[in-house]
Amino acid sequence: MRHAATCLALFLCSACGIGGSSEPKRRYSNEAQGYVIAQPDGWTAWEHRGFAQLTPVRSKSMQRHTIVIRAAKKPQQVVDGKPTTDADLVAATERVLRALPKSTLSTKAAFDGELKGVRFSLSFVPRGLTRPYRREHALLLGSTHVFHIIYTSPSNEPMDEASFRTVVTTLSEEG
Amino acid sequence: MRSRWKLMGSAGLAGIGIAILILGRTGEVRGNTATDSTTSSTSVTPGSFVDPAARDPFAQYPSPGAIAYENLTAGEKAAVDVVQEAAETSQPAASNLAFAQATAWTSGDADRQLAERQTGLVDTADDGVVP
Repeated sequence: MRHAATCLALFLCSACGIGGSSEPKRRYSNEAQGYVIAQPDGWTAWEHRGFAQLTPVRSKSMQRHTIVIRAAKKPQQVVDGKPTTDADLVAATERVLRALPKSTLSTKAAFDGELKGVRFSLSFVPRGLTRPYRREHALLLGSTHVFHIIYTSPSNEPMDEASFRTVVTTLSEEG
Repeated sequence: MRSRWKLMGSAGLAGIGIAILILGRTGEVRGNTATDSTTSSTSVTPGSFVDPAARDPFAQYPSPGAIAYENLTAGEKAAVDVVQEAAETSQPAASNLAFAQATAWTSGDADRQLAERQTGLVDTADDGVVP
């Protein structure tokens, strides 16, 4: 009876969204790189060598999952003599991803959030390792900057799609 | 007393002789230096000097017991031709292939590096990788 009550309480909590990972409660702002995101629950943010990294808090099953956010100024030219277009940036990003060690690009799809962009899904084998890793790479095209949101985890572990989507769709340019 | 004067006189003469000899040599050296500088400025230009004793780099070294191609039999000529043909066709083809592969790889790598700089993704391959 007591066990049944506990199960019922847990069910109600999950139905109400308490403890869910997709509901953002805080905002993470990176003034140096000029963006703001809604920080997904269950993830903590820290800055390292010019980029921000989100890591799951106290989750043993996801201890190898990370979300990295990088920002860079839009270059004036990607193709010589012509002003940069979104297509140029998408092509250049794809070139970089295809050059990753043992890279296999599976999908590439456009999306809309606060900023529009393109999402790449691929697997690769990091240097010095033998097992494949998943990489979900969202390229967001701001007015003056481009943003890269990079979800990395071992290929055989299910990703936290909701948290990744939260970061991707809520990132907005600031400053 | 007389012998002392004699000794001093002969020593003085010897000293004068040595001084004349030294001055003469000095003059000779000065004269030579002037001649050398004149010669070098008129006849030798930098980089044009060819040592007449230098060996022609394309000349074959004498090979003891070598038989000229013309003196070979028809069978021997055929064997030599096969080796020469292999050297001229097989090896250059392999070399060309290796060069083409290296060029393609280098070109691809340059494209990757350029794309990394353009998109702000330099050295990000290991970003977020937790081993």
